[in-house]
Amino acid sequence: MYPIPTDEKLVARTLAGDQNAFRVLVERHYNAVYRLCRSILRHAEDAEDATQEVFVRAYEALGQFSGRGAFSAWLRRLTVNHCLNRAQAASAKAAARSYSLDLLAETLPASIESDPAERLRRAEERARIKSELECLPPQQRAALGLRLLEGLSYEEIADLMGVPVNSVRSWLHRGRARLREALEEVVKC
Amino acid sequence: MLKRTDPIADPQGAGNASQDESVSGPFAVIPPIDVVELNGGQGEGNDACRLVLTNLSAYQDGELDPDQQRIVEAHLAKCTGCASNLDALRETDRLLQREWQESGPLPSSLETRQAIDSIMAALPPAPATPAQFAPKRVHSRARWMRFSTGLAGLLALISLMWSSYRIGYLHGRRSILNRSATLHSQLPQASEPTLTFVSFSPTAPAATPPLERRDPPPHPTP
Repeated sequence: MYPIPTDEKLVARTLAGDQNAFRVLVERHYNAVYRLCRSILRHAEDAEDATQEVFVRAYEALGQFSGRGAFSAWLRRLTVNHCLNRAQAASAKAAARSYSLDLLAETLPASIESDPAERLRRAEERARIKSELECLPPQQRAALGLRLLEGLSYEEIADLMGVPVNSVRSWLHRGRARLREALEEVVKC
Repeated sequence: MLKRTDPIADPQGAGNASQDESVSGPFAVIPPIDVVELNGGQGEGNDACRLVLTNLSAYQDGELDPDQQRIVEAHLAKCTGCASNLDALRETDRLLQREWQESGPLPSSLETRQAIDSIMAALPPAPATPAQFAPKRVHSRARWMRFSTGLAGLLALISLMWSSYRIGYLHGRRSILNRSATLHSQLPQASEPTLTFVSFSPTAPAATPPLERRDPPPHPTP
């Protein structure tokens, strides 16, 4: 029985010219990178493209991985930087995609309620959330995704995004406040 | 509907986030909870609520200090407006998490395998190994340039040292001459002997007493 190779050993083998070792790395981290891309970029197609680009970039820059930290952390930082650049470049396009019937139709099939009225209400709610999320600045959306989906602490998010902890704190506060304002009809307390 | 008081609705102008960021920048810092201002969690009114609400997000994430956490809890126990805002915040988080999870399921294993195949196909032939970042072989012309620059620098250094030595030497010699000339001028002229063939020795030497002959002590007789 062979021991499972660590990420660092796979990196070393990749640098020695073994592409199969890199394939193992991709298989191991694909879902995590995809989920991170999805939380920042919001669209499945964008997330898939970004995931592919991140792995190609990681392969190209693998020689710069010093091995002092974990490979997963290095890859996560690379992913966040790449997605933020991509999101900022596409922010104008994303802002144009507002709440619309298309978006409503897109969210409708995912509902599992049997009552048609309830299904419509859920779809409307999801479409509104989706459109509001897309209107958020990329940094606020990324911070929210890293916090709510990945469960990272403020310090970890700040480290990943290369900003002070107070910026993360501010982005999360503003992002949540803005979403709560926009979802006033949905959030009933 | 959400029940909110006025400062609660937009504690930092969050409804106008873009305007906010243009004014205070993306690195605006949320003011931390002031223990004194909140009066140990017993404070009431808009200021206390504003301070709690600006930190409510961090409270929800468990990112406040224990003291601040305790203060916020004490305030929330008394203030229904802030408490309802905390409920709204939790509900917003829940909606966001649900939307994210429902709208962004992970791709199936087949889709993942296809995506990984396309990634492997898009890879360049070889990764950038650290060896590629090693210093390259220096061209002979560049090497000659470096050598000649170093040689010129060395010659300049040697000439600088030599000139400074010469300057120092001459200056020192001149100062010694000046000093000796000064001393010479300060000597009394009368006492200066004039050497002539008559008086080769200007003053007669002092008469020295003749040496006494000392006989060795006699050997002791046994």
